[in-house]
Amino acid sequence: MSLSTAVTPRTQAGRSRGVLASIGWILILPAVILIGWAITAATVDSLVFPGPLQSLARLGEDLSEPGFRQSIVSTVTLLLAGWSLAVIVGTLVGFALGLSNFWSAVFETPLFALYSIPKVTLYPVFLLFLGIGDASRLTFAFFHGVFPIALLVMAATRSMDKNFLKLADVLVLPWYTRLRLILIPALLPSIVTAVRIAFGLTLLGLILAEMFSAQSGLGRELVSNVANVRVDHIAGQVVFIAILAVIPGFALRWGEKRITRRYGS
Amino acid sequence: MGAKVELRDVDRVYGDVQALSPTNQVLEPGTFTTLVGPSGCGKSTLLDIIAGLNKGNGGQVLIDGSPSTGPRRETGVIFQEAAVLPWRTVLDNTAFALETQKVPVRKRREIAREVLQRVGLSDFVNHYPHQLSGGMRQRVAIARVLSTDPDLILADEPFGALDEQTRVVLGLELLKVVRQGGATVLFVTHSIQEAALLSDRVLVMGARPGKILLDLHVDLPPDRDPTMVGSPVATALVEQIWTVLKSEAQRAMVEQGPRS
Repeated sequence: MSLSTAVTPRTQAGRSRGVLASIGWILILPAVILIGWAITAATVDSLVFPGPLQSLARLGEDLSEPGFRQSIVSTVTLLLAGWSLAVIVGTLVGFALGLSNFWSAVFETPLFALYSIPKVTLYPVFLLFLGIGDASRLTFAFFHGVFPIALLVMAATRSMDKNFLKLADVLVLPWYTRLRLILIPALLPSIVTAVRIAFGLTLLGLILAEMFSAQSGLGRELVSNVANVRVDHIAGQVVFIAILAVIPGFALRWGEKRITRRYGS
Repeated sequence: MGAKVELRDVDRVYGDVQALSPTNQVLEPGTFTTLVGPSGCGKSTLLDIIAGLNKGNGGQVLIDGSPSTGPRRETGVIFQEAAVLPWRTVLDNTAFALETQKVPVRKRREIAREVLQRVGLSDFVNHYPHQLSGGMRQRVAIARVLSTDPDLILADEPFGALDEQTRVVLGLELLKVVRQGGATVLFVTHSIQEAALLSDRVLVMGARPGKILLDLHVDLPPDRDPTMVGSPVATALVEQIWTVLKSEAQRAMVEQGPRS
């Protein structure tokens, strides 16, 4: 019988160096993209291809506008609301279906089929029922995020180690103890993965909805710049949306890795 | 003190298949009984019925005279694959059953440490299951069962996935620790040698329909060691079991007919 892992104590300084190094690695790709962008813009030298400095300057101007700041607040608020709803509903639905072989078999195919439909084609239906405004934007964003969560949690619940459930049976655990001490910890790695994937998709749904019909929001700002052919403003705002997507994405990935290490098998 | 288990006409049917014929047996308190037989002969079904995990179609299971209505906390079950929780340390896995019974933290950890010492895992209390070998994980599962001081232990091929040497060593360890606690044990295996070496009594099962064909007393001293596998008593026992199982296997092959 051998021990496969040796635990080595790490110093505080060592840990800090490790964190700095990983941040350094993460910054390499954005730096390469930025340099590539600057070189291409300088080579093309066209009004419709602004460089990074020009775009960031326009973004700075936009950020000083109260209307743009209002759009950011509007998008972030709806994003958080849509994402939270998707997480709660998706997890509960996925879990409930996954517990039963019959119901997961009944719903799996329709859910996958719905997930594969380009959801943007259904947007007119949302507009028809909910009108132009926050309700249709929020629902469309939620609609983008909820399916992957439900599908991932359903698959994780179905494929959970049956010995865990048998263990709960032989220990005569009431349902709440079973949920708290076995089911939730066992499903946590899959839930955080689903939550991370759903974040990006909810944002995608929201920006799409705002591009089609909204009084405010970052998607609407983009479309109005397209109409006015303000390419440098568009580029600056795309950078801003990318930052809005990437930073929480990295934070969620970090959390996911920690939880998988702690709770995964 | 171990529990007395009585089976009265217990049977189980799945569709058209009689998985378990009506069975009558008594497991006396504190005895180590092994159930041996080919795969699919109904050994695990019988064990699950006694554990309360599977409701038989008929008959009754009495534990200390009371009819069994489902799983009971005084029964410890060891599964084929160690059901250890990957997010808990060895110590917290061992204390898990006590935690679900609301035993205070300090008390349950104290008991868990003591049990881990008995199964030889004192040096691994803070390790996680993925840092252990398969045999060590199974010992954690055994420690969790022992922590509640059960009066009945049901083990379903607990060492089936391990190599021969580890299986013998762990089987003898299990025998030693359950002898200390005095629990009644029903141990399912398909290894004839394991059955002869560990048990006070061997029940040999045959398939189609699953029924107990032979009930043998093992006339070996209570303290066992690996060398006893070669003793005349064990050898005779193995031969006796093998003769019955061989004719069972031949009968099954004839019933299935030629493959092509």
